[in-house]
Amino acid sequence: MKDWLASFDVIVVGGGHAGCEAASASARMGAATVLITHKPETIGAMSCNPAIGGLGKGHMVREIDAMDGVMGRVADEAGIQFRLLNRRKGPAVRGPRAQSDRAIYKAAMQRELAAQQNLEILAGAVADIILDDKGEITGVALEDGRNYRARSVVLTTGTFLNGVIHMGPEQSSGGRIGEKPSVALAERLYALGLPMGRLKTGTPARLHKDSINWSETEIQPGDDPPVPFSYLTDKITTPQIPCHITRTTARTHEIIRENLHLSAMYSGTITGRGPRYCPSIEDKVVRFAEKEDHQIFLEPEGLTSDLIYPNGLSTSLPTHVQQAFLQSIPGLENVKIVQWAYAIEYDYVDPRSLTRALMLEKIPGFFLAGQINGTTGYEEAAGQGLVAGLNAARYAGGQSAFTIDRTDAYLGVMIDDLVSRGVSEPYRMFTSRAEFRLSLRADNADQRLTPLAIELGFVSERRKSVFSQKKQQLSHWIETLKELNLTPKEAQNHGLSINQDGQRRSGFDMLSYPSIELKDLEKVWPELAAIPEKLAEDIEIEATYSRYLDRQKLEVNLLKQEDFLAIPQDFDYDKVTGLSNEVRQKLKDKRPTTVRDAREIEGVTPASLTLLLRILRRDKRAA
Amino acid sequence: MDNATIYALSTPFGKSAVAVVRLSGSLCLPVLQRLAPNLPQVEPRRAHLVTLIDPSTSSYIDKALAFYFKAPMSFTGEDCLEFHCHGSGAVIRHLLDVLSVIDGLRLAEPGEFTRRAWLNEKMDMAEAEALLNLIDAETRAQKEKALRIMSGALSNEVSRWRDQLIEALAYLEVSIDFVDEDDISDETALLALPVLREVHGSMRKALEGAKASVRLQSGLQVALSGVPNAGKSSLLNTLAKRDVAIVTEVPGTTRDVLEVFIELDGLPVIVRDTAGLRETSDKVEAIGVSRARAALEAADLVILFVNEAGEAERAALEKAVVHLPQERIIRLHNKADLGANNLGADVSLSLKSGEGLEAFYQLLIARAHALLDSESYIANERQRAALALACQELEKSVEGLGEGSLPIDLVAEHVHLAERALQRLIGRIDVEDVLDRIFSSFCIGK
Repeated sequence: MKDWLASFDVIVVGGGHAGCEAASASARMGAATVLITHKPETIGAMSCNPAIGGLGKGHMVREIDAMDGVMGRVADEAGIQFRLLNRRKGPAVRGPRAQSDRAIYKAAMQRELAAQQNLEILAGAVADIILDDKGEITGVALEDGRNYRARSVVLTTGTFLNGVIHMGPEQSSGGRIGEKPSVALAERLYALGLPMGRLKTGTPARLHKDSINWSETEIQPGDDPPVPFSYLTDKITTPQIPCHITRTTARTHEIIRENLHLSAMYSGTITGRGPRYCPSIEDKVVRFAEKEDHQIFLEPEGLTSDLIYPNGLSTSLPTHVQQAFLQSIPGLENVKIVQWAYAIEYDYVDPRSLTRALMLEKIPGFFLAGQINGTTGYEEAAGQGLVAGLNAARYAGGQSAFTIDRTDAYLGVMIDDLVSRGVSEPYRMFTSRAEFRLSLRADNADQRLTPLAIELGFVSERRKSVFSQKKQQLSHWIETLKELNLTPKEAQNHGLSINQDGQRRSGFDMLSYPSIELKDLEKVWPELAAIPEKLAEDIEIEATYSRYLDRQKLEVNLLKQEDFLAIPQDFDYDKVTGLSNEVRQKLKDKRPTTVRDAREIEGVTPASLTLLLRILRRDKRAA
Repeated sequence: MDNATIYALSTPFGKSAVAVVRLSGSLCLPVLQRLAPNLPQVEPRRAHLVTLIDPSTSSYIDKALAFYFKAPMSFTGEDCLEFHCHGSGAVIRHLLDVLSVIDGLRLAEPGEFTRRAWLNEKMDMAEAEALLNLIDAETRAQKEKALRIMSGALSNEVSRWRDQLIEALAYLEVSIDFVDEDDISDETALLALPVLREVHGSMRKALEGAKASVRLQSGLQVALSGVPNAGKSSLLNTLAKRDVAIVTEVPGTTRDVLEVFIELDGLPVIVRDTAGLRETSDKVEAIGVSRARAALEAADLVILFVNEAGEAERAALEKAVVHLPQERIIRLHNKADLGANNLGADVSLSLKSGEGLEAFYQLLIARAHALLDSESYIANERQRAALALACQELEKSVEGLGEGSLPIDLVAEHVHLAERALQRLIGRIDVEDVLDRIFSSFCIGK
């Protein structure tokens, strides 16, 4: 019998973006939760770039916030330069992004978690997980011999699992610069027979602010006023500062080319696969040889920090080469390097071994989130953390798994991609990954997800009231707009040009014309001036996209009725009469989770799918 | 295997008293309301006499009986709709064309109505087992058929479209997802425009070809066209070897479009006699003339009567067919016995004496074969409908991008919709294919 030091509902291992979100979600669900991490003072650290959001990623932050996660609020507090990307393009592809003050971010995150009820934080290195004789998880063992018991465990190891740091030919083991890796835990996961692989990522050098000749660079201001991430943030109060832009030169490329043999990646020392969309500078110089220069963003690490993050210069070249090529860049001639760039290789678990609740199929109660599942990015990690933490709490409480469809959220797209297709490089979110991009917007994440989160029961009173107020106003004004109507002739009299076909159109229909805004309609119906400014844009977007959304809804329904129809894990294939034994056995072995997955299985004929579908639909109707 | 609303002609194609077009799925009621806007109220399981209107052009399709069956009290267990219309090729084709461009509708696969009936448990097990064998057989047959088609001309063309669509999507998506990058400017999305234009043009051409190929099954359409009293009706009668058209000496006698089905060297051919093309003050004749022009547009092959028309009338005739490729026109000089010169016709004959008729037949057969052989890579109406829908979506994307009238996410949406329409002809374009293209073409990565 184990000697348990303490007992919890949920243990979260790791204090990065996945771990924070998982711990918060689990505790918000009311589960007695503990977060165990090497160094509690590094909780909420941003190990790579000092920024949150972007295309697809900003959407993800809004979704996390809509479910009352912490990332959005913390990023609003830490944001020092906000930009809404794609502002001039369609609203479906607008992504909020912000530079963050690392110190404020970390402090705000730690304060947030400290204030969270049901959540305890412990320092310690988890070396092993403890299973009972049925193979279910019962707790974790620490390096120093302490054992903690829990009904479920969420593992968020980031880049720490067997982490190896490369700086040119030099290698050292580490999970982050200056922090030791998790080796024992990695060995344990291999021993459990989990399918694992190796990935890599990189981070650029950090430069001293005062050593940069800023007059050689171009200034990039943020938005004014800044657009926050969180639906609860009314206004950004943190002071705002700009970023700067410079470019590499022919000399930079020459230095890199001459020293390629010294790059860990090009000398073959690194075997893990890196992300194509975040290539090292040596990769860019080789693959796009015809390009004369590359853009470099000089991003401040904080309001009071002396550090600058040169975004676009990640590398695994040795330090003397880094020094040389940095000095060939305008503005960096006399640059002082505070920390060298490095590449890091780490283990991940093939996410195809997970359920849609992010639980390992083979080990009930054991959840994984973040880079361990083959993803990259703070936001992707946080999103998984939220889903894993929520489900770990539900598992501990004996509730069924909660899953999100890819038709409803980027969270769903990501998890579906991960568990059904696996990864071949670190997975990052893009808006192009979402088939139903037009309905999965950053502006309506609350409308899509907050009601779900309220139902799940992990939403604060404040969010509930903010949401219901907005929802009420939104539906009131949309109803009003649908009731108001006018003839094309009347519209013309107000200077609104539409097709003179004699058909009456509602105010809502009028708004669906890209050229017509709410302001124009105020001339016709002065009462519309009472629409709060914050709401006006949401209403306009809803109207502009309504026609497309109707069609998407139709497609979504089709997919839900067939492709995405879930097959329960305990589905009894023996009750499907007419299946051949071979097909029946294959389905029993593979246990597809959806009809789409079943279709992919070799040998499953359209006829057998039809048989299966009929029973699934009958079960669904009966339920 | 989706749940789209499906439609199909449920009676054999061809001339008959009544033709039944059947629909099944959730869109039946909206479709009925859209095509019969003047129908005040729809009662399930009742016959409604309706005037069917083409919603895109507001033109008249037919007067028909419509039956609406509300789920689950229907053959398939879903909402069903039946149109009992006049059994004319033109009416059926018009109605099917109209249905093919409605969002959420697609042509039924063989046996699909029955399959849905089974899925919704409107059939017992014995019937079901028989059907299951059929489904497997059909899909095997379809697979083989698809493979045969894919190995030929269609496959080449389609894989080219696929590549081009990936390229266009890469330009659009890169300008959306990688705005802040080195290589990417606002103009990057515009790089998709020439690519989309080219695919659209090439699809439109294939669609033209598809027309001929689909008619290998339903009949090649030949229109007889010319000034009044040129002998078109006489030729029709000769071809049909029976009196179909009323042949008189009075110019303007043929006021409607008449059609006969004939077999020509083993090919199914529909010959349509049209009213003479001329400006007229007679109201009824004017309707006939406008129908004649429509028949001309729909035809695969036009037989143009060039005899004894004055200069002005001949010019008007040539103008009516100026956009047609030369191989689709046979210029026929009739009444050679009256001794005029042959006016640059492809063939001269006298319908009265039969002189030159054999040479005309040979030419007609050769042209018909050439048309069907060269363009027969679209095998059926279902493929044609998919292509037509794809083409329509691409047109919207080209327009939206070219004129800047649509935001880029909606332009991309139309390209994706086109791609989804093509999914039945070609494999799905995976997002990874687009990303591959992006990462190999652009330097991405801050």
